Amino acid sequence: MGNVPGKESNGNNNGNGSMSTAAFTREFLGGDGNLNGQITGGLRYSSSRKGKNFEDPVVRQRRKEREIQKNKYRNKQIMNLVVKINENVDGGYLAPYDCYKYELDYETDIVRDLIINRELSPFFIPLQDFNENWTNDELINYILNNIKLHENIKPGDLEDNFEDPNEHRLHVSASSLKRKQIKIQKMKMKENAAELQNTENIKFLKDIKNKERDNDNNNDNDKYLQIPSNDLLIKLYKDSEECPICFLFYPKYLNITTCCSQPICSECFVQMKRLEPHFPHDEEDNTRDDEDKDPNSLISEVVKCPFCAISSFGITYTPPKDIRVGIYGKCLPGEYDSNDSNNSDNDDDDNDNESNEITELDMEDPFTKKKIPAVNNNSNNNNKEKKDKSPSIITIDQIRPDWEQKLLSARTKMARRSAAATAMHATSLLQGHSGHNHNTNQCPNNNNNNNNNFRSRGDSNRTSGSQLEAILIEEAVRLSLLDEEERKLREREKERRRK
Amino acid sequence: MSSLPKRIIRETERLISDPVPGITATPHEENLRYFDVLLDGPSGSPYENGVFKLELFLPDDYPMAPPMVRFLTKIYHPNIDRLGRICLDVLKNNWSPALQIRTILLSIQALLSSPNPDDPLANEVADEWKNNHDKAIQTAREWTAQYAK
Repeated sequence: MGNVPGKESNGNNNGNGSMSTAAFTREFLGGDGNLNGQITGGLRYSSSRKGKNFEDPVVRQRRKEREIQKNKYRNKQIMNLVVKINENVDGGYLAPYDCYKYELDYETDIVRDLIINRELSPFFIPLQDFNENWTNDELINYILNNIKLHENIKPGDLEDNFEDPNEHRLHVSASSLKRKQIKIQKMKMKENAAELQNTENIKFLKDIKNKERDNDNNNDNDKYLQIPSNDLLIKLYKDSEECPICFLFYPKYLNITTCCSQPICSECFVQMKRLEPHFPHDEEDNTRDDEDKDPNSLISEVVKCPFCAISSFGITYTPPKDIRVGIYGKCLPGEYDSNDSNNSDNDDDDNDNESNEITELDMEDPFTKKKIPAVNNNSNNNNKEKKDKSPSIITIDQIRPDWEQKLLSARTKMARRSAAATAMHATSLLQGHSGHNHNTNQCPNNNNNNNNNFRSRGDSNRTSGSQLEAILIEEAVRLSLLDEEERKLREREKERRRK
Repeated sequence: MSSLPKRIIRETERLISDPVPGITATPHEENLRYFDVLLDGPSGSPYENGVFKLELFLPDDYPMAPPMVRFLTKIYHPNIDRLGRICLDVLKNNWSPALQIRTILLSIQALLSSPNPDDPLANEVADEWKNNHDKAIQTAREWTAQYAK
């Protein structure tokens, strides 16, 4: 029964693995302080640490609410990865062309805002092929025959490959069941997103085809205002540039690294992230287990520039002056006309007239009615503020602000693991394996090293019960401090999100 | 498996149309992410005149994650262990998505020219390399002659 203190050590920290300190001490030290009896009776704490006995209704309620919140967040993140025809900025979109199985975990709201504010290059549809010698007709011909709103999603693409090894156990743990449940929920969200994406893709292709046909018949094209005009496509893709990371061709309005002025498309930028927390390489010591190391020495390193490896990696984006369409823009992508200076950003005085124009237009076109007018009014103020500023630098930490929390939970998990190892060790010790005597003389004074001291071998001193008790209490205190620290950080995080 | 990203297709084309001297990388027909690599031992090193076989695999998240590379030919080198695993920073923490198959293989070739016994993967080899340098070089030469044909 549950005699497996390391079982929470797989790659998942969904916050439910926290052992209450009270439970820990109670289990270990027992009511009567009869340490020996308690421990030789079996390590029971791991099976009862989430026992119903310790959970009062308020806590349970709170946990439930948190679960609902988390689910909402997951769903929002996945749905925000759907490319929508209407959500376009300067001919690009608010979600990436390839969703990578909906596993992309950057903060989607932040990125959407950055794109809308023209601080990050929008997700343009990439071209697989491009030749600078193409004439405009050849270019348009290639684009119209080849672009898709989003890469096709095949049924198998949504499966994630991570398999929980604990699922195959005889006695499946509660957290493992929960993980399975989350996985199923996530799969449903992904399927919904994929379905929505397919609908958008089909509409996009159909509109492109119909627009061309109607063009030939000289019908009016107001139906297709969200489909970029040929003028816009030529303007965007005329001097396409290759992103040096994905090798795809994009309009030349890419993000530029601040350190070495290299282009990088937004698609590649949002995929970059910090490595998992790890021990510093210099101190890597192969002779020691990870469990013997101090959890507080785990580090998380900033993402370095992919091109020049400098650690202060950031990008800037300068939006095109002569294209200003879509959200907060002056017209819709279908209306863009390269000869009409109204589409561009050159003329400030035009602003007021422009917004009137768009409102009029909205009256006629139910398609645009909902979105554009609402944002358009404050856009003018926004734009004026933005205009004087030099472009702001965007970093990976900005679109993935959760790194600090990740590091902290990695440290906590590590601390728990080493505590469990210590406890295991204590048991075997009390059960009286001869020749396994340990030096615990200097123990509980030094928080960070007490496991190590405790586990170092080769001294002939016999451990007494009281010393062990002291260590366990020390361990319990340390864990509760770590728990508290983590809780505070989570709260701060929540606070920040609320703002 | 989903279709192959443009980047992998382009890299493969370039590797074949414009190969690096001393390095060939050929993708498997049934799995285009899996490459057979032949690497010439750099001249001036104890691996000179040897041809080393390696395997290279591009994981799903390549180029965000580094390729996995392993020596298949037995080699006596302080940074390469008995299983052929390679200790090289650009294959781990210092990987950058701007690096390519081509540049990674060149880095491995450079590692053969300048071993780093202070950051060893094969501890015994590294000890020998530091304490009995001539003998280590000799062994590396012998292994090259024996296995890297």
